[in-house]
Order: sequence, then C-alpha cells, then structure tokens
Amino acid sequence: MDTGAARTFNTAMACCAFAVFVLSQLLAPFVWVRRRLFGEHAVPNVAVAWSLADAGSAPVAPRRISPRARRVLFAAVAVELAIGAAAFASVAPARTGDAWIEAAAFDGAWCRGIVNMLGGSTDGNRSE
Amino acid sequence: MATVANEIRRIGPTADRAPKGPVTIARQRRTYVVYASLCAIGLLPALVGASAAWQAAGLGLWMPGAGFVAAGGWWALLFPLTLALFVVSIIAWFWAGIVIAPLTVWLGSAALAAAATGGTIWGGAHVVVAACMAGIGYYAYRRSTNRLARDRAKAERRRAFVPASLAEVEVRAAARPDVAAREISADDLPSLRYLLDRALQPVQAFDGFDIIDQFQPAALRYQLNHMGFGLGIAQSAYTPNFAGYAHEAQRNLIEKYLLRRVWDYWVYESCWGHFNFTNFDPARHDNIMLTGWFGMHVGQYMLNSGDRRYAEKGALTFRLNARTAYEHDFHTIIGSVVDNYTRYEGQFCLFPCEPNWMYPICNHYGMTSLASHDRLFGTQYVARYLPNWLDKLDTEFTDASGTYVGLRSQLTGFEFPFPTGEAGYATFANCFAPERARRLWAIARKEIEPAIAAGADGGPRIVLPGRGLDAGNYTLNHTAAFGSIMMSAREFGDDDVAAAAQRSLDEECKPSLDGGVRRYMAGSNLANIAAATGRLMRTGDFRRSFVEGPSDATLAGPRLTGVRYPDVLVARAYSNGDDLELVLHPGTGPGERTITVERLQPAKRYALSGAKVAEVVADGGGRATFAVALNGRTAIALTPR
Repeated sequence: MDTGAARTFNTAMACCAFAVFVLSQLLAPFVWVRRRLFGEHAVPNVAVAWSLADAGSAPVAPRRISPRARRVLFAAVAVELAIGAAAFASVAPARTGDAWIEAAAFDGAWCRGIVNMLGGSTDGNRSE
Repeated sequence: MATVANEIRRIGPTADRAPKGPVTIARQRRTYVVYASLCAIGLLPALVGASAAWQAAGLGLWMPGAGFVAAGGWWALLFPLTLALFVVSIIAWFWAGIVIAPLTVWLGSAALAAAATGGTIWGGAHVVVAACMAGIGYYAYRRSTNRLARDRAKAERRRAFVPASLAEVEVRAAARPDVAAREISADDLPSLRYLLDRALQPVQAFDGFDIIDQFQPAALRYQLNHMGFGLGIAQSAYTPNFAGYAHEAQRNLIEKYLLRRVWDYWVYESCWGHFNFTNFDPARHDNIMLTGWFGMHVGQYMLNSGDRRYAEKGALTFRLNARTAYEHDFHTIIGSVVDNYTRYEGQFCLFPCEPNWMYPICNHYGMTSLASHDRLFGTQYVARYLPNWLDKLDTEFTDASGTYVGLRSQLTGFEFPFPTGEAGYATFANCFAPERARRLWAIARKEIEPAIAAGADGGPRIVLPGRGLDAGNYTLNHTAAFGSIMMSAREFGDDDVAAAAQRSLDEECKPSLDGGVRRYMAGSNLANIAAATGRLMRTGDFRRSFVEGPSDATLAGPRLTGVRYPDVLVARAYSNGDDLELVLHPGTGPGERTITVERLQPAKRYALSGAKVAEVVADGGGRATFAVALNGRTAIALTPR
C-alpha cells in the first residue's frame, strides 16, 4: 500500500492531529528510552470504562508516574542542573575582562529598553 | 434545501509544479518578500561594518538561532537547539494558535545572540548560515518535487478506477432504508448505551470523558459534538417519536458545551493569537472549530426533535464570569459562520479554526451547519456561499492528486502536512454537495480496499499499517480510524467495508460488553463515539439527520415520553401522524414497566397491542399512561379507534 492510501485511512475527525504527530516524532526518542527503562505502560482508559450504572463506584485513575520513576526524574534533573552550572562556571572566566563588561552593558541596555517600551515610556529604545 | 450539483475538477494537472490558487500564490509571495527583506536587513550590519553584536543580531534574522553561529565557540551549539525550539514553537502556534511563539523564538534568539557575541563575530558565520539556508531550501525543493511525482502517479491511478467505483457507489448510496420499519437491534443497543450513559449524567459532570487539554482533538468540545451527532442520528433514524430521555440527553450535551471549561480555550487564543485582550466571544472572529461544529450539533437536535428552544434569543449564552456573558442562540452561532465566510470571501473563503490555521475539514462542518440552518429556517446560505467555497476548495486547497490539503496557513499561505482523507470529507460533503461526496467516497473505498484482508474468523477485516494514532487521547491505536471508516462506509451503503471495519474493531481494539454497554478499551472516548455512531448508522443516515429530519407528520404525531433509563431501552418510536409504533427492550432485567405517551388527541380512545391493556383513553392533555411487560424485545402499537 502506498502513502496515499495510508492518508485515506486516517480519516479526519478533529483539527490538528498533525500537531500530535509532529510532537510524537519529537518525543519518540524519549518514549523509546522510557520503554527500555520501565517497559510498556499499559494503563486502561478509565474514561471509557466508566458507566452510569457504576457512577457511585467510579474507578480511580492510577498514578501515571510511579514513585520510583519520580525519583529517577528528580535525579536526572539534578544532574542536568549540575552540568549546566559547571558549564557556565567553565565558560564565564574564559572571557576577556573588556568583552565581558561590554556584553554585560549591552544586556543591561537591551533589557532596560524592552522594559521601558512595554511600560509605554517614550524613550523605550534609549540605552541610558 | 439548496444543494449545488458539482463535479470534482479533473485531477492530476500537467503543470510542472503543485497546483496553487491565486490567493495562495499571493500569500506565499508576500511571505517570500518579507523573508527576503529580513535577510537584507540582517545583512546590513555586516555591510556597514556595525558592531559585532549587531552583526550577530542581523544574522539571527536569516534563520532562527543563526546569530549564535556568529557568537562562535560553544555558543554555536545553540543554533541547532534554537531550530528545534523553533519547530516546537510552530507546533505551539497551531496547537493553540499562539502566533507570538515562533516570533518570540526567532527574534528573541537574535537578541540573545547579540548579547552573547563578544568583540568580533566568527569569520565564517555568514557563509555557514547561507549554506544551511541553501541546504534546507534544497531539501524542501526535493521534497516538493518528489511529492508532486507521487501525487501525479496517484492521480493517474484514481483516473483509472474512479468511473467504475463511482458507478458502484451511485447504486449503493441510492438505497434508502425503509424508515417505517427501522429499529435498533438488540446487538446495537449496547453501543447506543455508551452514548446515553455519558449524556444523561448531570450537566456539570464529565465522567466517562477524556480530559486532557482543551485546545486540540482530545478537547471536550469535540467529544460533546460527536456524541450529539451519534444521538441525533439515532433519534432521526430510529426514534423520531421518542422525547423523554433521548431529548434530555441531547440537551444535556448542548448545555455542557456552554460551560466555561469547554470553551474558555478561546480566551487564551484570542490573547496570544488575535492580540485581543478584551472580547473573548467564541462566536465572533474565526473559531470555526466551535461555531461550525456546535452549529451542526444544535441544528441537528432541533431538526430531529422539533424542539426550537435554541433559536430563542440568548438560549446559547457563553458565560465567562459574573459580569461577562456572550449572548448567543442558534441564529447568531450560524451568523458567525456566515459573517466569517463573508469577511474572507475575497480571500480563501474558508476560514480559520485557531488564529491563522485553515482546516478544510472544519469548514466542512461549517458548511453543514449552514445547510442545517437552511433546512430549519428556510435561509439560502448554502446557495449563497457554496459555489465560491467549492471554487476556493478546488483552487486553493487541493493538491495534484486531487486530495484536499489538510491545513493551510492563512498568514503565510503555506500548506502543512495533516492526515486527512477523502473518507472523512465525504460524510460531511454528503450533507450539502452529495454528488461530490459520492465521488470522494468512490476514491476512498478503492484506496481502503488493499488493506482489507482475512480476519481471525476468515471474514474480511481492515489491516492498517503502523500503530495508528487515536487523536481522542493521543495514544497509538487504530480505534478512531476504524470507527471513522465505518461511519463513512455506512453513509454510502458500503456495508462490506463497514463490516470489515467492525471486525477490526472487535479483533484489535479490546472490545468489552459489560453491564449492557459496549466499549473498546483500546480507544479514547472520541474513538468509541465514532465506533458507536458507525454501528448505528445505515445508508444516508448522517445526511438525513442534518438536512432532512423526520417528516412533519411524524414530528406532529404522538410521542413516547415517560420511560426511565436504563430500565426501558427504546429501539423504535415512529408515528405516521396519528399512531405510534414502539419497540422496547428491558435494560435492567425483565419486569413490568409504566410508560407515558403524549400528543394524543384529548379524550380519544386508542387501541393498544403489545401492552397489558388493549385500549387506552387519552386525558384532556392528550396523555396516556399504561403498563407493559418487558421480557425481551416488545413491540407495541397504538392506533386511534
């Protein structure tokens, strides 16, 4: 079957499934890693299982992130922050004193200009 | 109702580039001019020998993040990262209409690059960035050329099979179910119960719905609309003379739709998409994903029930808070669609969902809503707008294979890939352009055919490639696709394809029949709604429920009201004008049930068959109440003496 036929199968029901598709492509590597680490994650769709007759005893959705996964997530974020801080520390001293001062002055002027402009100041683009 | 006979234009043009309409060409030209201007402005700092910071900022205008190449060293790594972030910002743009997202990333990265640049820029920066631009341009060109070749080949194949396929469709679609003999089978009632269960809970409750985000396909509004469509089709086809909980369920869905949590996505999209921070009226500018869909939904209910309450002023009011409410009714919702078609008449005609993004599929909902209004109130909106609408659809939104493009950017004129197909469009087009709809289905059915293979029991089933995508909850499965195919196949009388889709649902999508309710555990709520609707539909049911409705005699006849759900399930309720034919099933076990019938002639005697008494006399208000023993399928006939 060619791609054209495949397009026909995905009959449109709502807007923007393409957004989901693109996002899924971007997330695919992370999903793959998660599957490798934690296995398949088959949670039944609680919404579909619900019925009016059982409304008084509706099932509760299971936690989507287990405590173990949460600990791993915190550890990963901590490592990333440490790497980021180390990278900043190693890059910053490498600048020459003049270049650093010039860049800092430019940053300050730029930010002040934007803040003034948003605040409606007529001299929004002035750097002083 | 006015429908316009039309022909799909000849597919597969011989031009050496993809077909583009004049508006698309103008928008794309404008985009190229703006981009070329950006590049020229970006080059100026280098030409005039401005500071390194300005040169980096200028280079940042060439491509998102390109300024970091000028900063040199490790900063250059931010170039690909910014490009990735730019892709994400584009997604945010059409995920939630955040127009400012890509602008912020592009211009913001240029500013940051300027701030990060030292005294000099890296010497090869302009060459490297220009090479990247050329590479991306070449990739886009190759991609476009390859696609054009594929589309042409597809057009050739279609030319070969469409005439014969269309002839078959014409025959099958012409078969009209005998409305005087229709009833929901005991096998299909559990699918109807899936819809009723959700619709009959209190208006504020959303149990049994997928609640993820309110911007994209999983949004509550789409679940509500399609649930309404399913119930409306059942009402129109099987139970036009059942008010009771059938009407209550449909009204509940409409009332739910008015809750702020369902529509307040538009508050955000107005701010970051239209830069409008004061008027969040969801039925005013763009937003056909609300007005078109909701217009269909309300119009279908009024047409099949005879209830006109939503045409009253303020009946569909969207309340934002204690101080602000946007007062609407069916006429103003449709009026918004009309106003937008008028506003964009000289442009694309089709108008956007989220700010900037135009989806032909949502505009099919919009045109169907106009057709419903025409049928209900005698307006001529379809006759007024359809010719131009179809012309723009053909010239601005159709590719070289003859397929409608999924979506196009209103601002830039560029098409973005989006998985749509003829099957989805055909069902809606059948409501306002039936000749074209049959042609669309004639294409779709032949392109589905190669995917039909023997199932576990030897019968045909549909085998789709890959893991599929359920847009109703963003999971990977084919439930929604099978449900949608079944709906389209049913609408055009292609029962073989519908049966194959049903078999695929039963074999692949984890079916469950519990408590008298059928569901597919692999799919989302939206996918289950499609599966249930497809199961209930027969030839032409979708079209009839939106643009024909029951006859005046049927709507004026006696109607069943007083039954409790799920104690009594109504499989048929039909009147020829003064009689009433019912088929009832017990929903909670056999036993005696009391039912009420209204709109009888006051004080008139009626013969009853199938009930515990042989005759009833209507009271002064035209009501009669009597007992029936429900021990399975029970047919009841009430005729005037």
